[in-house]
Amino acid sequence: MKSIESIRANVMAVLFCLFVGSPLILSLLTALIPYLNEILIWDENAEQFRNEAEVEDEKELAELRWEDETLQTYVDAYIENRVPFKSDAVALAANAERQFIRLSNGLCRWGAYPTFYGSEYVYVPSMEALAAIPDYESDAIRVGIERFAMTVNELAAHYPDKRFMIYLTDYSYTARSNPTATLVSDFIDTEECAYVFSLYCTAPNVTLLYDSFDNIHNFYTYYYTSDHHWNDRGTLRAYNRIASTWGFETLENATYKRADGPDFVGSFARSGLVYVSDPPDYVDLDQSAIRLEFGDYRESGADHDAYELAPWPAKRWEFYGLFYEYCPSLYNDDPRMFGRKGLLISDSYGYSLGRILVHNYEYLGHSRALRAADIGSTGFLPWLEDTEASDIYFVGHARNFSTFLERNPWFFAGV
Amino acid sequence: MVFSSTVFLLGFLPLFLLVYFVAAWRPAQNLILLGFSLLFYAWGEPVYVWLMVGSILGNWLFSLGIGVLKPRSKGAKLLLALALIANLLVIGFYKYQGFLIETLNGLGGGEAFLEELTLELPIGISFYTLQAITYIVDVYRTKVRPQKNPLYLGMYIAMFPQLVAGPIVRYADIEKAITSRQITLQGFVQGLRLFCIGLGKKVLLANTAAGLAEPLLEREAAEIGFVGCSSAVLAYSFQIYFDFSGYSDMAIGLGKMIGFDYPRNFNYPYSSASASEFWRRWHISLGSFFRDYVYIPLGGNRVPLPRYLLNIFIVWFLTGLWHGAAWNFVLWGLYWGLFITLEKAFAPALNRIPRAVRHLYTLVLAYFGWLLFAVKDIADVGPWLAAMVGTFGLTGDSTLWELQAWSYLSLLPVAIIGSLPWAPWLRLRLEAWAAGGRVGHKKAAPEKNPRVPLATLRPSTICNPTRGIVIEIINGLVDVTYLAILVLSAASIVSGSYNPFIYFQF
Repeated sequence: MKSIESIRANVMAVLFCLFVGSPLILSLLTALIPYLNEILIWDENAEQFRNEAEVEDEKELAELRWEDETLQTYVDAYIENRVPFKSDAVALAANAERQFIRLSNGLCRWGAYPTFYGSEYVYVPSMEALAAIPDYESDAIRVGIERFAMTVNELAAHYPDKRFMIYLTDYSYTARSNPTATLVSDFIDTEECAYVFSLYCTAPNVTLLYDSFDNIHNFYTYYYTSDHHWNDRGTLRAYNRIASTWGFETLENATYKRADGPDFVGSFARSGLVYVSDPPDYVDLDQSAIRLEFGDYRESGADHDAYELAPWPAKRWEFYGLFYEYCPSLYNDDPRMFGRKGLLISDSYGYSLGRILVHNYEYLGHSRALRAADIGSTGFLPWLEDTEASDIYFVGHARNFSTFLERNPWFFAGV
Repeated sequence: MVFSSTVFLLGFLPLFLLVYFVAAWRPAQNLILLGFSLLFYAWGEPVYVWLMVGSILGNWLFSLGIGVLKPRSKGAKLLLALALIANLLVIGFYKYQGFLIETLNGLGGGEAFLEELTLELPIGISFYTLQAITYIVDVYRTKVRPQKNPLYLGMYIAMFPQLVAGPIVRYADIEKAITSRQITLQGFVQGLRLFCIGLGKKVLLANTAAGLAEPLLEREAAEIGFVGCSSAVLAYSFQIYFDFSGYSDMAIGLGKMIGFDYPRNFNYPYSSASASEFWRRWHISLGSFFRDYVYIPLGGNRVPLPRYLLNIFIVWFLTGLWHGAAWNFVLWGLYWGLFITLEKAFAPALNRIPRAVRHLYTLVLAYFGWLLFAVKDIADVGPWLAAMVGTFGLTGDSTLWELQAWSYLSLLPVAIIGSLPWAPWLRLRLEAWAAGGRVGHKKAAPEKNPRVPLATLRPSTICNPTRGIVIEIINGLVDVTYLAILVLSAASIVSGSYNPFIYFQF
């Protein structure tokens, strides 16, 4: 028995030392034999867990100081970046917590439960989908929307010859079909946000459209189950509503195609640490007349270079952003559209919509100033004067509208 | 640096173990331990590490001075007094000056006539200062000889396993080990088993409980109502136990791995049947510190009643104050002092009550004690108590779903089982079964310096080979469990999950 105990002790000691020493051992091995990096450390999903650690990794050693803890932060990041199978470890930890939450929900039977303890996202078992937990103050949203709506109304009054459209998307945080809508104490839905818009956007040349689904099945028909964006069907539906409102050609019989890549695991899945996915479908349109220009970069609307050239993991995690890559200037060489110009101010919902909307214009300028992470690179009025656009679109979700003026106080300067 | 971090678990620890075990010579190992301990501390305290170095040198000089003088002479007493004052001034300045100034300003009524210095609290100052005090006093009492080598004294005070969160190790416990400790494979593996248990308690249980407790404790009682307040305190009760005992287990386990045998610090306190028993099982090293270095020198219970009550008051006032520079901690300490005193006064009557009822009473005591401990401000105690009797409704301004207490229901049995002494109960029975005997009913005499039991079955004899095989299978499965806990804990750490460090305030 003593020999069995001795064997067990040796095995335990070896396994423990190998486990805790794995990042250091692997670092040493890969430093000596670089090609081992791809086999031993490289984690195709690690990009998704890129955080400040990666940034710190690139600092010059000479800049690091002990006293201000920059050296410590660098070393912390160095080790974290060399943890093998990190994404699997993260998923394992989240999955373990989710099982306990699911067990707890077995007693309570809520329609949705958090994806891990402290998560900002919930799993909706009935739809095998993800949703966001509303975490805003409704009053702040209302006030922000009021201010935005009043500003656009004033803008529209200054330019009576131009058309303005506000399209409010049914973002998960304000979607009435979100199971958590009735479970939290402070919730404002998209329809109520649209109502606030309607109170202040009274100019005759301002049109308001919005998505609001009562039914969760309908919601997930038009919005991704793993991401906060609308999907191909949702984009087309929005376009058709705009088209029928403003007299453009609708695309009722459009078909869909699947991109050559893995299923899309969107932002909710990435942040919620749950592998929920959506098919990478897009609206199949003839884009041969469409040109995209970003500074010196040119691309045909039929191409999706950013997506096609991206590595497989990036295609999985960033399908929406890569496939519908943002472009500030979209052109349509169809001679029938000569002279027609439009401006699209949106958040990321505009990425997919812009590529369809441009079919009705010679030129569609696109600013993503509405996006929470962005500030407008140029004031609106000079841009409007310069492009002589006749149609102006504001497309996004309620939270971005409500905080827009706070983030971009000078965008409408002169209005 | 904390044990439950990537840099410690996957960087510092393997590097330390490699260097430590490669250096086979004991003096080299001691220097390596000192060096790594200072690195460990300086990692998070690049400036205050010098304060600790100063404390080590100061206490070394004082101890040498006391050592050369005649035991208990006037000169030795004076040096002891100076040493104690110096140690207490350091901790007083960094930990309590803000509290003192705030209190004095409050007494002054309105206007702040004293300006508070906004100083960061050096991590672990309460632990290493108390440890230094035990050393100095034990030198004075001639229980230990003064350590002539300042590096070795530094190694004792700064030893990273117990530096930031205890246990408070007496110099006498490790004096011999400094020069002649036994480092064996069995000891190393026993230590790593204990380390794994502690890591699991801290990362998997304490951090998870903290995920519920801490956000709720930040909120007003009226916002979260009965469910919010009750579940916050319940979660905090588990959080603080698993966090603290887990950290102690890791410290003791790390000590064992490198040849040091630290005393036990927690002994299933939630299985206690009285306040006195609770404090014999909770943070044992702190309780014994206040007993041996404050209570007994003040006369203990061998004094007239008024003086005895004053001694109790002083000990529990200081116990509360040690935990934090705020009145709610003092109130918490006095709360326990009051119940311990009442228990002593009514002991004969209380002992007639069934243990199960006394156990429940102790749990209720602990629960409301943690309310005093956990609130951010003493003024919050009233509203929180009011919320617990339903004053603000079931969920206050929130909904039941968004309070998220329901999502932890499945963890409640795990937390309860984890707090109870089923492991020693089972071990006793399995070892007796393997030996072919029965569990004896004679209670073992309490140990003076109890150690954490072995984390593996080791029956004294095996009555037949089949039982021996069963024991080995169980041991094997238990080892697999320890490794699974290690892997899951590491996964949780690496995922950047919520990882609060309660003892920054101590």
